[in-house]
Amino acid sequence: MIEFKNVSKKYQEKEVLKSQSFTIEDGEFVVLVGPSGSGKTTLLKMINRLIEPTSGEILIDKKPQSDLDLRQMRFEMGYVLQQASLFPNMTVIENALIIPKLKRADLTQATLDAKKLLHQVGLDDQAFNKYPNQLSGGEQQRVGIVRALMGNPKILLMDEPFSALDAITKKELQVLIKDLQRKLQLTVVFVTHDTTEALKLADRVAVLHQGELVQFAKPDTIIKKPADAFVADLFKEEIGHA
Amino acid sequence: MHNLIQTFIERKSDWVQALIEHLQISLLSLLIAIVIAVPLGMWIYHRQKAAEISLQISGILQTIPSLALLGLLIPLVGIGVVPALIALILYAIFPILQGTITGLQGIDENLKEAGTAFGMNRFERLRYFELPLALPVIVAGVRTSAVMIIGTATLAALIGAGGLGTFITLGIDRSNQSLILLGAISSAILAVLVNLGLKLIEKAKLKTIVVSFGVMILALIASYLPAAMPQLTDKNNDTIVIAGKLGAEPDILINMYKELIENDSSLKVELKPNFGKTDFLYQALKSKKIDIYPEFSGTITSSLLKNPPKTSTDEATVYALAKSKIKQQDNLDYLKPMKYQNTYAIAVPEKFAKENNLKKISDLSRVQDQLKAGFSAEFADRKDGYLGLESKYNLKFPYQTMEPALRYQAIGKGDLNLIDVYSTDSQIKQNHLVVLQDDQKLFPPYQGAPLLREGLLKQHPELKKILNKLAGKITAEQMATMNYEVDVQGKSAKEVAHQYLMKNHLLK
Repeated sequence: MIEFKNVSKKYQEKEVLKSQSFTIEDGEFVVLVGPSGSGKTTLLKMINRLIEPTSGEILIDKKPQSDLDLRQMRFEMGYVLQQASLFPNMTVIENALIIPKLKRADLTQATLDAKKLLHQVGLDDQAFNKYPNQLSGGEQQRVGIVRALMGNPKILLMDEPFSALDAITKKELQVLIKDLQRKLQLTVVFVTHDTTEALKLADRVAVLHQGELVQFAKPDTIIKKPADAFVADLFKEEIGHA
Repeated sequence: MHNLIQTFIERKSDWVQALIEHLQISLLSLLIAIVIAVPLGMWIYHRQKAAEISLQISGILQTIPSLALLGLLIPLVGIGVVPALIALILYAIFPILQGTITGLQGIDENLKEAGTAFGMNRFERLRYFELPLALPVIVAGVRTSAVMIIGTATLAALIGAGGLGTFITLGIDRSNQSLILLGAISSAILAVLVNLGLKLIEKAKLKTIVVSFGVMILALIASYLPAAMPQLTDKNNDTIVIAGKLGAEPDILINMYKELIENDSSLKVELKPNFGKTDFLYQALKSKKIDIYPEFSGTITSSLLKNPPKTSTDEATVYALAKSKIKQQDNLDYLKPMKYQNTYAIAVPEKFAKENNLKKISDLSRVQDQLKAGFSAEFADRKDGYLGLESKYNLKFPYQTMEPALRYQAIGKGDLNLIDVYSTDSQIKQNHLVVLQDDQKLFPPYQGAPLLREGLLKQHPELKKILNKLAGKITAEQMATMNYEVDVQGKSAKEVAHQYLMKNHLLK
């Protein structure tokens, strides 16, 4: 469970996130959606402390973040970035094994697990020893997902992971991630600016506007009862089709 | 070209030695520079100000002319390998630091974020992806430094650190182009090879690079081992090491010493010709790295003694002072001197001397208005130089100052008819000059004799009698002729020395 209690973020004079409180339940697929500058990425990065709040508290499974060992905490939170950001000097399998390496885990077992996961995301054996620059964008992102899951995390953080991909690959990966989430019972926090994607993937959608969470509800509710004009406008296409 | 190959064949063992020294000093300074610059770069690359300042400082070090840097270091750390290493290291730092910082700064921010998000600390980030990704740029910086070091290391020869530069300095001293080319071409080829070698490594993985450098370090250590175990290898007590300063004359003298010693005793002699300048040999003698070298009485009294005695123009007095005081100061033994003096002298063309019956310097007063004189800047300035001609000989005439080598050219062409020389210069004979007698004893005495390290005579008392065979022998004319034979006619110093000893019945 992830709890935000009056969390805000201020840079110099700019308040990127105004005091926000909300809770993300275990096993939920939450999508943070909003235009750029709305604070969604900032919010996401506060969960694994890439960004520290200016005020307020974040609790992971009822424990304040500050009480947890940072490194351990990060091992248990998967992180997937937009451009996959695989390490260019490592092969697919080496990228996948990075967290087990950091954890000093037994690599024989970890390698087996990695290969299994890579198969699961649709990559075959030939890809294992390739370097990231030899893969397509979609393939890279699949590896990115596997890499994030190798620590057996309970929480998966994804920052616009499919935004740079073509429509077809995007669809495939959207299906994949929903499937994985269900199978592994992950809590997923997913950031996107694509409203269609948000409604498609989320159990609950968090709509952000200028540093504030204006609505946090199921996709159904967003469409039928948008909280304000902004939300209505943001989702006007989807609302129109409904 | 043929001459070059000939020279190379003759000097092959010297060349191999010089090559090893050159590689040692280059590799050692490169490795130390890497050890300094890469960690420094890793430490400060993300701190904008610190990075800028470090780059500025190391950049400025680069602009200091290498020779000046060496000169500045000598009073602090002496001569030899240490100042050469320090200078080379200081030069090598900038390109490597620049490469490290640029390489690390060029890493995608997203990668760093990913690494951090996975729980990596700074070292893990560096190890797992930052260094591997920055490596090509870092190695490019190392490559630049390596090539620069190999070229600059030729200067090491000037301060007694050896290397391929010794051929260049020797060649300049002897006006021997083949020697210069040998040194220059060898170091150029070496630089090219090292450049290519490092280029291959540039593309390799981190592990390969680390292993390669490990191998180089081992090779470097191995190359020092023979020198570190002199007692165990063939350097036994029966080998005497005799060194000589840069130049034909010392080379001839030490060959004479060698032949006399080996002929008259069971001792073996190892020669180290062109070992460097006075201070270098003196230090080597004091630290027992060499056993004997020929030194001038005047040099001892004016340069080696901590409290130089009052100057005298009487050769016997100067010799006696040199002998007793160097024994007192450093416990070095100075054996009997040879006849000739290698001091300042005045020379005029043979024809001019004959026409005007010039035998002594005093005779010049008769022809003062005819004189077209050229002096080296040092001579013109010294109290025992031109100023002494004015004060002691009451001579006064206009003169030009010029580079030492040019004086001979000018007098040879007829542009001058009076120059200062060293009394045994080979160019005296070459240019058909005669030396005028110093009848008023203006010029300080410089007699040559063997200078022995502490304890040598105790170990081998027979050396005294053997080397004193040269006492009172070799006139200035004879020495000048022998220098001429080596410098101009290209005969080997060994041959010339042997002929002298034979002619004068000094070999049993």
